[in-house]
Amino acid sequence: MWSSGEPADSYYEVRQECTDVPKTRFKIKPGKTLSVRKWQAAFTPEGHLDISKTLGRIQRGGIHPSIRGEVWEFLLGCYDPKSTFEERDEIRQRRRVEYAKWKEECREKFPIVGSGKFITAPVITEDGQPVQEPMYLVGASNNAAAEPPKDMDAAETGETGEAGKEGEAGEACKEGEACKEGEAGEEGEAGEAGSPKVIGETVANGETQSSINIASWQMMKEIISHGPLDKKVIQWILTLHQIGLDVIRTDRTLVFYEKQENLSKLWDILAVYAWIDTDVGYCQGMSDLCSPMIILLDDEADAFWCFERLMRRLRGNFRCTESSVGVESQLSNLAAITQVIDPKLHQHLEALGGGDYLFAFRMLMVLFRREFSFCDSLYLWEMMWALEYDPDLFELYEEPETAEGSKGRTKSIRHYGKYERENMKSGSAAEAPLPISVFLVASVLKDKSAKLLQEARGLDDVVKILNDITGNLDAKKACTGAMKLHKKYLKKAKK
Amino acid sequence: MAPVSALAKYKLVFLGDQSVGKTSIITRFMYDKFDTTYQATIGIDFLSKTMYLEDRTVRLQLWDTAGQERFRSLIPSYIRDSSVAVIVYDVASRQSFLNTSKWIEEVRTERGSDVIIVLVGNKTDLVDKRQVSIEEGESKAREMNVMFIETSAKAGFNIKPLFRKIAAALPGMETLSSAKQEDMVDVNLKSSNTNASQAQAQSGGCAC
Repeated sequence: MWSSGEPADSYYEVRQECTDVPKTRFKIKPGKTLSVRKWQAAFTPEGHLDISKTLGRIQRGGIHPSIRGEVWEFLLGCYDPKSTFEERDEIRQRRRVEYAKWKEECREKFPIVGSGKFITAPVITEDGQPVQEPMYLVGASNNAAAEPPKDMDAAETGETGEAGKEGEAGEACKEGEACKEGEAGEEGEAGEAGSPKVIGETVANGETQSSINIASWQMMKEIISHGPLDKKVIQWILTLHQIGLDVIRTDRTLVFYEKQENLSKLWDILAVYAWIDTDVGYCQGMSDLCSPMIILLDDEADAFWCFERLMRRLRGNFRCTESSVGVESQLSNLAAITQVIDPKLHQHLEALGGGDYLFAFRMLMVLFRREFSFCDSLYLWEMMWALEYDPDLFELYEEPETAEGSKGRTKSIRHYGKYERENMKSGSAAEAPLPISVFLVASVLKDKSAKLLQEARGLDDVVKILNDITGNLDAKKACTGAMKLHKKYLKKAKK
Repeated sequence: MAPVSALAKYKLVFLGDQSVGKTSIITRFMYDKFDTTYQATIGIDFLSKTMYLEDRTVRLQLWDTAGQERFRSLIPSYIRDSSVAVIVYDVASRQSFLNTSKWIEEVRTERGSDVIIVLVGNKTDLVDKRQVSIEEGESKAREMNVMFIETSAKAGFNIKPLFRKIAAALPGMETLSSAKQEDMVDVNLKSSNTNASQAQAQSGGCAC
């Protein structure tokens, strides 16, 4: 039984009623997958990590689900492998405090943050005035059990004025109709959301258990009474319901997100991130990237920092202007790569009007999350990050100035991921190297090249052929393919 | 059997705010199902379906888009060669209704009057949360000179009629006598701009 490996599905349980999810191929394989024992053995008693002992395993067989979170923290550059247990503890504490501080800033601006609830409809207009419509809050009420459900009519008209009475808007909520009908199940958890059998007339937007409204203008008026909101705050508050609308649609096939507190964790983290990274704010796709962090790291602040590190790599994709979306620059890199390694295909795609490669938009934006099962996308991500691993990552993020100069000098080549080594060898690491994800897409295209050339008569066919790969891709093979292409590309591009 | 090449192809682009139900409408039409575990559409997605009308068959190419405002720069190229723009709002979200003006303008800027525009008020199943009345929807559609219908992808209400209505309004449909009556709300045999037959079989008739 061990030869074929142990399935890992039990670590990321899928709701029983969700049968239409891609199958997972990842298996925990002894001698290949990075095991708990092997991981622990890579540390000295003080806590120095010899990452070279682990990268090979991760590149070959992924990480055992029980240690994924802590390994990811290193792969993403949250910590320096050279540091000691003590030093890391200190950094962790410092970061938790910092996160708490930001979250508190957010809560002061908008009291729903950190309340265990969130919004899915706008509460202010673009000029910072309160929206007149009632506000629907998604979230189980802490004191709901003690209070009788509110009369539905009153709840609908939004003339509650409860916010004032309770002192804090977040606590003014009561269970909504869905709970009243006894559909929500355990203590108002998000039990029925996503479950086809309980699509009831009473479930708001098909998503939620306790849909409660309060007079939002009242809460917002209170906020505005301290003076008009500045532009940064308006922009931020305007993104909060957008985050909410995606949170209720993120990984809802997983049992994990049946719990209301996990949904609000996701909302809180994305809200805080939008607050500190005003250039990016919140952009659709980010919830897909953040969701695994919350599942893998128990502490909300730790999950936030892992997400923040991931965004350091990817935030360029999410920066939007009036005329472009950031990811388009990676798409032109993809075009350049395809032109070199598969000129016929590139020509064909161009002839079909697909020269902008927008059909690959989603693969790059959410790093193949939609093409793989949940478990397989984690496997793919960690293989990518291990291949790309650069031991200077931590320093680059913490002290960008001093880190630049020391690159590659102090560490043995063994401490770099295989992909990064190729870049260093070819000298292309000097200029900003292309992420491996672009080569992954290129290898998927190359795989489908014959079919695309033969069958695609329009862009619609291209999208359709690429949609068909969902659930049919092998993460390991895709990585191997990407590495091969990368090598080939470096060789050809040099000429 | 008519050869494949004879099949008339039409491109429909679905526009509208985040989470108003664009993907759900398409999925209900394609597979007659509604699933509450939908994910947000990232970028652009595509599906196509052949529709059999009384005397001809058309191929509808359905282009689904991400609703978040900041992806707007991606949209024009998809509007450019579309025959139809389906602009969706959520009847339980006034903001999404107000924003349809922007979407309509965007389409007009790109295509002028050379395009069929349908305004769709989705989620009529959310009876208690409705913020936009059918009259408001109709009146806006009249004002903007576009077609109108209310739907519920979740309840499966008016989805087929929406697409029948679109199919009937497609260019080259003038000779079509009539499509099947039972699941039609309204058959506009001429073009989207001329007087329609106002057959309001179900709530949500044509306001053009």
